[in-house]
Amino acid sequence: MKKIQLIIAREYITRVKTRAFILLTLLAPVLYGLLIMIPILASRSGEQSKQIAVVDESGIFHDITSGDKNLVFYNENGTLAEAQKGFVANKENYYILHIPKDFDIFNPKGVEMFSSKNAGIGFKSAVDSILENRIRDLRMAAYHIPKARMDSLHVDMDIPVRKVTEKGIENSSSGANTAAAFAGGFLIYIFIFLYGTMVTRGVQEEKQSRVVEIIISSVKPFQLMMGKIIGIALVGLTQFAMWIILTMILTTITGQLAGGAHAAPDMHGMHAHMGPGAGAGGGMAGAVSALSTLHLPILIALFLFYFLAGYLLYSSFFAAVASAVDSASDMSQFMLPISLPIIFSFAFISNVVENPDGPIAFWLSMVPLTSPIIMMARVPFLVDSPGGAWQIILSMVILILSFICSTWMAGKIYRIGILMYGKKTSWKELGKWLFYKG
Amino acid sequence: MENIIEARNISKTYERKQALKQVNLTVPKGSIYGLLGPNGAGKTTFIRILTQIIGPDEGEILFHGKPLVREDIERMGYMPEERGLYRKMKVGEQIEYFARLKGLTKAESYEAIRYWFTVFDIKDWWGKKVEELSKGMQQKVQFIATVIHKPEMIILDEPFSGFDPLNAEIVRDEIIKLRDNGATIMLSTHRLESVESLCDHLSLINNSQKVLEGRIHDIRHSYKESIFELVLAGKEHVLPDVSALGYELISSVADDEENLSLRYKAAEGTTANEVLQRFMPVGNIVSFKEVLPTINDIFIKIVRESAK
Repeated sequence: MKKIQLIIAREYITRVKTRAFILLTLLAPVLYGLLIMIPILASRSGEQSKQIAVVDESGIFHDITSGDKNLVFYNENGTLAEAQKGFVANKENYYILHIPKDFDIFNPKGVEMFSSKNAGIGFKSAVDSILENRIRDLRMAAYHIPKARMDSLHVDMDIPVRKVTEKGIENSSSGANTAAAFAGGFLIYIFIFLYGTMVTRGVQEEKQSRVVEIIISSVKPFQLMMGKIIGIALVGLTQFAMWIILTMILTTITGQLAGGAHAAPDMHGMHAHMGPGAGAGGGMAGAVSALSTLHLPILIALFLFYFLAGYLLYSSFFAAVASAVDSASDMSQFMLPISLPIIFSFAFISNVVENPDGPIAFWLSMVPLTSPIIMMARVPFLVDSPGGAWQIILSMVILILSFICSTWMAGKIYRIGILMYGKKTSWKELGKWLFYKG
Repeated sequence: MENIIEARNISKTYERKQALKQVNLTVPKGSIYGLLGPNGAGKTTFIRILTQIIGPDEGEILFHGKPLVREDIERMGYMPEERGLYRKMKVGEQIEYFARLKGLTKAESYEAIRYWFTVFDIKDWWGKKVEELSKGMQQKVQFIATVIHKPEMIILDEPFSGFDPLNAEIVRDEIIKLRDNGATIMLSTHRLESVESLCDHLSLINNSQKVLEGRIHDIRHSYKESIFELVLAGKEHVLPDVSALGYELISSVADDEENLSLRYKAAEGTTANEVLQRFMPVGNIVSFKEVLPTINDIFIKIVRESAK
C-alpha cells in the first residue's frame, strides 16, 4: 500500500506543479468571470455617444428619439450628399440614417444607414428596434388603435411550478433544474475527456521512455496503473475544488459590479445582445432563490461520484489501450470506439433534459458507459421525485460494479501491453491478453 | 559456496513461441554471473521472471534457498536493456522516487544519492531535468537508480550497450566494487567478449534452453583442445618432428621482434611439461602457454553443434 501512495503522490505532484495546470486552474474561472464581466464593463465604458444624422425625406421620422443619451438622433436638413460630406471631416461615431421620400410604413423599404466605420451589431439592432417600434406605433395610429390598448395586449407570464411531495407543496424551478442538468452533464463530459487524456498520455510517456520496466521491477503493473489513475483523479478533484472556490470569489465580485451596472442607464435595444451578464445584477436574487430549490449538496456529492466513477471506468479503458500501442498515431484507432459512448451521451443531454423520465433517459442512465453523463443530467429532476432515489442508487451500483470489472480487465491488458513493443496491436490481441496468466 | 539464486525447471511460453524450456540455473552468492546467449534466446524472459515482472508457466525460483516472494524485490536492483527515465523530472527527485519504491525512507535515499553523486562526481545534477542530460549522463543516473538501495542481487541487462568506452569502464569498475562489497551481480549480454574478463560464472542460453553453466575457469578448461603456443627467439629454427606423437602444427608466424611464434595442437591429455621438453633443445623459449578457448569459441562451437 505504501508504494501505491508513492506513485499516487508522484503522479499528483508532477502534474499539479506544471505551469499548464496552474494556468488552467487560475484562468478558467477568470475566463468565466471575464465572460460575464466584459459585456457589463463594455456597457459601462461604452459612454461614447453615437450621433446619428437623420436625413428624412419622408418627414415621418423627424422627431425620432432613442431615450438613450448615448444614442442621439438629430435632423440633417440638407440632402444625403451634403450629409455624407460629414465623413470627410472624419468624425468618430458619425452615422447617417437615410429615409427615402416614398417611405411607406406598410412596406418599409429603402431605409439605409451610412457610417464611417463598421457599425457594431448591437448598435445596428438598437437602431433597428427603434425604427421598428416607431413604425409599429405609426401603424397602430393608422388602424386607430389607442397606444394604451396596445400596451395592455403585452402579456408576460412566468408560471411558478409547485411540486406536490410527501412533505407537502414545494417550490421547484424547472429553469434551475435544466441549467443544473446541462451544467452537470457537460462538466462530467469535459472532466472525463480532460483527465482520461492525461491518463493516456501518462501511460504512453512511461511506455515510450521505457521507464515502465524499471517501475514494475519495484511494484506490480496494476499498482502502477491504479496509482496513476488515482493520482490524476486527485488532480481533477483539486482543480474542481479550486474552480468552485475561485468562481465563488469571482461571482461575488462580479455580482457586486453587475449590481452597479444595472443601475446605470439601460442601453435600449442592446440589452438582448448582452446575454445573461446584463441581467446578472437584477437576476442575482432570483438565481439565488432558484438555486435554493436545487439540492445543491446532493448535486455536488452526486457530481463527485459520477465524475470519479465515470472517470475510473473510462480511464481504465484508456490506460489499457495506451499500454498496448506503441505510438500516439496508433492510439487514435482505439480511442474513437472508446470515446463514442461519451460523445453519444453528450449528444443526448438535451433530449434527456427535455424528458428526464422517458425510457431513453432511464436506460441511458443505467448503462454504465453513458450513465455518468446522462444520470448527472437527470439528477436535478430525480432527487425529489418519487422513485428517483432507487434509480440513482441502482445506476450507482451498476457503475461501481462496472468500473471494478473494467479496472480488473484493464490491469490484465496493461501488464502485458506495457512490455510489448514493435507489434501492431488489434482488439483481438487485447482480448487474448485478458486470459494470459502469470 | 552459498547460492543466492536457484532456478528450477523454469518454462515460459508466449502465444506460439517457447521462450524458456526447463531452465535450471544456480547463481553463487558474491559472484559476477554472466547470462549469455544470442538475441532472442530467452535471457530477458528469464530476467523478467527473476525480477517478478512476469511469472513462469512452470518451475520455481529460490532466493537464498527459499521460494522467491514479492518482498524479495526490494533486495534486487534491475537495470533493463531498454532503459528510461521520466524526462521532465529532476535527477534528484527521480532517483529518490526509485529508491523509495524500493523501500528506502526519504532520509535514507537522500544519503544514498549524495554518496553516489560524489562517486560519479555529479553533485550539481540534483536539480537538472533528465531531458537536459546527454545520453551518457542519463546512463549514469540509470545505474545509480539501479543500485541506490544497496541490493544484494543486481541484475543488469546488456549493461554496456549505450555506454561510451569511458563510461563503460566506470560502470565496469563499479560493478567490481559492488561485488567486493558483497553484492551478487548477474549481467546478461550477447557480446561475449565484454564479459569474459569480468564474470567468474556464466551460463549460456540458446534456443530457450540452458546449454552450459559453470565457473568460467572450469568451462574453458573443460573445452580446451590441448593447443599450446610457444615463442622462440630467432626466426630460423629446425623444428623437431613431432607428428609421430600426434602433434599438429597449426601456425608458424614470425613476429616483429624477430621471434617465431608456433601453435601446436597436441594429442589429448598431453601436459605442458611434455611439450616443453620436446622444444627446449630447439632454442631459447621466450614464452610458453596453453591456449584456452575463448567463451566466444566455445559458444560458437556449441551453437553450431546444436544446429546440426
